[in-house]
Amino acid sequence: MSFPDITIYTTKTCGYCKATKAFLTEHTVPFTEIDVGADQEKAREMIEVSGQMGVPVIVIGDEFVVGYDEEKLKELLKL
Amino acid sequence: MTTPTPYDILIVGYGPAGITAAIYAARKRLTVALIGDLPGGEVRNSGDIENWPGDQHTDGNTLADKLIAHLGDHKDLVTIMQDKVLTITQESPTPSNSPSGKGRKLFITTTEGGKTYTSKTVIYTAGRHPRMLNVPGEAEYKNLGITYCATCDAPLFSGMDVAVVGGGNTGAEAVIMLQKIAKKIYVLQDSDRLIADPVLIANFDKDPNVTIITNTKTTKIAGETMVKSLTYQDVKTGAEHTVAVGGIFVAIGAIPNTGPVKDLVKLDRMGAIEADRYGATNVPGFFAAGDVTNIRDAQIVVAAGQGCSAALSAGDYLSRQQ
Repeated sequence: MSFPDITIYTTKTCGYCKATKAFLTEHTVPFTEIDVGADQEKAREMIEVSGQMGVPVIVIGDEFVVGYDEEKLKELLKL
Repeated sequence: MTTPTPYDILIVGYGPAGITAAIYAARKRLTVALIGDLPGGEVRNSGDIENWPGDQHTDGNTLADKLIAHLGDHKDLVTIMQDKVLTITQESPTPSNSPSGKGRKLFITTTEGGKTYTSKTVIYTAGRHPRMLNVPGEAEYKNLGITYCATCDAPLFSGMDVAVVGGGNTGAEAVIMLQKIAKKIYVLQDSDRLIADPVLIANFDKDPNVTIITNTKTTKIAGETMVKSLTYQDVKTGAEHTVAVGGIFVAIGAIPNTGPVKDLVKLDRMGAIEADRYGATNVPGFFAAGDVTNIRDAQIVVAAGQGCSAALSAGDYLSRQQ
């Protein structure tokens, strides 16, 4: 199965980020992770993309999901 | 169409209370359906944990993973559904010739995912969610500088001036996390002193970057695109003060997640489920454990202990019904 480019903005300590990554891994969905706690530039980028400051933000092609939302991820990734 | 066999126990909640209940139930060879949305529960959003016996130092994610791995030993009996419960009701008593037993009322649980489950008992461990301030600007700036999870979001406030509202343990832990990240931290407390454990307060009460302000009532949050300020009232003088902050961490307690059962089971004044020390409620067969109950101490080890008691009570209840 092929997926669009997926980027997930996270912080190291966030449980919802970890749960989201586990969900993607479980469904063998490849993703790029960006730790916004370690990179201020990327933190600003995340706020620009999503218009908010909560993590995780999962960018899937032209769309994005805020928070750990399995149903939304399934819908966007057609799982 | 055949009616599926009811589960012995349906557990709501995937945190320490629910997981412990499931482990104990499985060891009694009972069939369990466990429904929860965040694997490991709110523990995942705890930062450092230093009061879980046996682990001198761990963190929320690590402990959650270990609890889930332990539960994994019982996957022959425990079915885990990642879903959210909408309602729990009780059916009419079964006729005397029913295979589920004379006069027994099964519990019927429906979920957001559109599923319906039946069970002989329920152990409800749905936890709590953070309490909101309910002041102007709060809804508008949620996730635009206001957060209820310091563990998740603190790293985003690097180099900023921030406020922590609430001087209990959750607030104090937020301050400790922010000390390494934020520039200036205001801690706002409604009473005349912080109520967090002294061992936590000792981390920051002498830090020149931390300003503790007591006897306050938050009245307004304002901003442009993002949060810019918080206004509070000095409850002794009535005077209002505004601090310029880019981040606000709200830690003023939590509200029990009782929505799906509020018409089924007796709640106390604070909206928590009234459970006795064995996890029993006013509804026979419906047990509760952890932070959703009228427990004084919202602690991981207490929740796990209550989950154990509730599972043993449910097992006892089931054996009496055979």
